[in-house]
Amino acid sequence: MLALSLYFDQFIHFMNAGGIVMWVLFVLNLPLWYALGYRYFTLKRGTRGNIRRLIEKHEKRKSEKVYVGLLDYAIADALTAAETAKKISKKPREYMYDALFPYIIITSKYSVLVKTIVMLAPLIGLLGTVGGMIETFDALQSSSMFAQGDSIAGGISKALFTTELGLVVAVPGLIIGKILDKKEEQFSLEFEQIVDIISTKDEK
Amino acid sequence: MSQKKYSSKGRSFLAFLVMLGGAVLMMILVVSFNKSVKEKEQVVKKEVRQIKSAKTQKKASKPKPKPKSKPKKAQPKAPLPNMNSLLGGVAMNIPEFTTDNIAGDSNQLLEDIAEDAIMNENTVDVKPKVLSRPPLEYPADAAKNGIKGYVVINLLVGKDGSVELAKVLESQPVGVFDEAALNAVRTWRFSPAMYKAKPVKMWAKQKIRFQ
Repeated sequence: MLALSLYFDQFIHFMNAGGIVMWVLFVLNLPLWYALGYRYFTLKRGTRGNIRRLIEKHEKRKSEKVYVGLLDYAIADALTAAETAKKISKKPREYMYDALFPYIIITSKYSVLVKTIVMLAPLIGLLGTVGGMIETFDALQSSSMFAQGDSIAGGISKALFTTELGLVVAVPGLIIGKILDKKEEQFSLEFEQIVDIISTKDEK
Repeated sequence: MSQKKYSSKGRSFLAFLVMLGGAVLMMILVVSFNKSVKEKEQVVKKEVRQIKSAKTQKKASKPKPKPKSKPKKAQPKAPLPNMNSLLGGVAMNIPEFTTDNIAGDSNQLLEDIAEDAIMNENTVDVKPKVLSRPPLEYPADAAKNGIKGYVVINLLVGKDGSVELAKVLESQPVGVFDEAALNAVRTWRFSPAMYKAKPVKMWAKQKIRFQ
């Protein structure tokens, strides 16, 4: 426990040494990971079966079906939308798009936030570096000859550390964010497939 | 609508946990990065200081005298060759003055040269003049197709005023008028070029237009 608190104190010390930009990056890191976590748990497919099979299961078992993932809910909603459209003798396709719209919103939630933070973090790190360099040269101007070496080296290491932290924030966000974007694309394709399959079944 | 409804309650909680995980990850990274940097810096600084004090003195004393000992002398530029006077010789690959054979009295020198040497427009006293110039034959093919052009020919005018040698230097279009021009030029007669009141051989350039 003592070691943990010591570790935390060290962290606070380093963060303060790097300047206010470090804290800005730390704060940016929190919503980034929140968004990544949210997207990860939202974009779970749940089942591995293909769409056609899932729709058949839903039609057979109706409400007895155990709902595993987002796709099950989406298919159930699309089926009910198709039924209601049939009852009032209208085209089911548009009704199904309406029913699936909330799911499309959910799958794309926070994607822009992730992209923005991934873009922003290296830039803020760069800002911190530039600020650190300015401070370094200020110190260099006012310091005596013998103190120069320490002030330059210390200042530059501080300045570069903000860039490093910016990249540390951005790189995992970029990688995981891209994987999740791919998944989102997959989901939107599958929603299209649901609509197509159900509407063509009704026509036959 | 007896369907189960989709809810995202547990999701935001899990996402919150992930956020905390991200924060902890960042803390660990910050501390670990800085630790390694600090250790390295301390070690490197001490070594560098020792090396620097030894090296900088040597470096400061050595390179300074070197540039002083190398004042570059400006070499006199070689005189530009007189291209005009060489042109005749260059074209035919024949040396103008055979300096190997020169020997003896310098007063005799020029007259000896004048007997055998081939001169050009710049070295000669009196330039050759055209005495007879038979009409040109315009090539039949070129006349049919309406081709126009010119040929620049280098002539060696002998002591008797006849054309000893003729060679095409330049032609436009290439190859069309060369034969006709050479044939025509060989029949021309000149008054010979004079150097110190004696006839000499001379290279002359002549441009012939076909129009």
